[in-house]
Amino acid sequence: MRAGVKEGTEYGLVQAASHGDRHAIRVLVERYRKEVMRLCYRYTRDMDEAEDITQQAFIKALNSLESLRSPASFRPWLLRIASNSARNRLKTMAREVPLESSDITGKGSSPQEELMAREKQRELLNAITSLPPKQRDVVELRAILELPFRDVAKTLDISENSAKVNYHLAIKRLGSMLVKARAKKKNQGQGE
Amino acid sequence: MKDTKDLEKGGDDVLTCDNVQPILSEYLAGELFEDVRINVESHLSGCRDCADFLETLKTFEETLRMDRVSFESSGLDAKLAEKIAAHVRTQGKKAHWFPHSLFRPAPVAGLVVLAAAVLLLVVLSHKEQPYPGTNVPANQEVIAVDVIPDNLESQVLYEMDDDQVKAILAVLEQEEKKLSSQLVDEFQEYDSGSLFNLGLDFEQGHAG
Repeated sequence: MRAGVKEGTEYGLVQAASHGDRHAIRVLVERYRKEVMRLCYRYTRDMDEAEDITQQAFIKALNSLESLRSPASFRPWLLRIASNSARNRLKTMAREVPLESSDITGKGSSPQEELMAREKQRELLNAITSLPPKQRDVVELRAILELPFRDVAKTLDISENSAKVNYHLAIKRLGSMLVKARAKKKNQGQGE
Repeated sequence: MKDTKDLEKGGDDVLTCDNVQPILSEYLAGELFEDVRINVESHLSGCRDCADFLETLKTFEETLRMDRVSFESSGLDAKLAEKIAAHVRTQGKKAHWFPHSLFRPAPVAGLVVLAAAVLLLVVLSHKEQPYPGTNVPANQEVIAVDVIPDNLESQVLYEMDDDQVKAILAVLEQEEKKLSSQLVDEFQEYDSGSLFNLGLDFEQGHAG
């Protein structure tokens, strides 16, 4: 660590890490890797992909600090970078990878049930990507990372009430989006 | 845990669909206080909309969280940190909130040069305007400075307050001293002989 930089504070760590300080990078990775990987994994369902996106997100975050408002915003910023990359990867995977081959460990249910569950999950994740940004961020932090609303609010720099209301609106919107999508699919199926 | 203050104030009447639905995620996660949870359950038992919303929410959260995996890995943090460190540019643009960049040699040298330039500019601008209230440049020989036009002098002086008059008098006094010293210098440049000669010439001319 550099002289004059308080070790352990977000500010000092981000500063030092952006200069290639390996100790600071290590501390930031230890602090945020699991959270970033969990978010990436929820979208990709692939550990290798999740790890790769996590690594890229850290590199991108540390190499473009000039666009970061303040060092205290590093965590939400890193999560946003990771989330954007993971969503993009999800879109690519939807085109490239058949659902059956994705890396999912079964929990004792039948293969058919598992496939249906995975299809529902991918449908839901795709719907989340179409939410307005604030609602999408709240859903990612609350439903995917399972953070308490207090932390969701702190991470996004909004009030706790705003976080709850946005989450509520997001779930309603997702419900309505999925009902419409299923009705459309059903109509298409009947048409064929 | 959820603070119950707001919900306790009005008892069951407070629990409308608008304030129950935003806390149903906390209800599912077991994050509500007991008394709030009981009130929520009481509302849910009589409200179809909220019960339906709860089911949707439950399905969504369970779907998103299914097949939990562990991200614990003893060696992964170090390995990942090394990979990241290898790709972090250390010479890129720096954020505006980076204070320590000011203490690097290059910015310090830049600041010193800038300060010197500003100081020089101040000195020069001061030299260019040695007579406040006039347009007389520094390189022009000045015998006397009159800061107030004659036709306005009495009126302007009359309308001025004491400080302004004092300031003008100070300038005039300064100019007077300067002029006197200039005349003394010029006088000392001549030797007594030439003065004598001048005098003689004058006397001779006068006499002649």
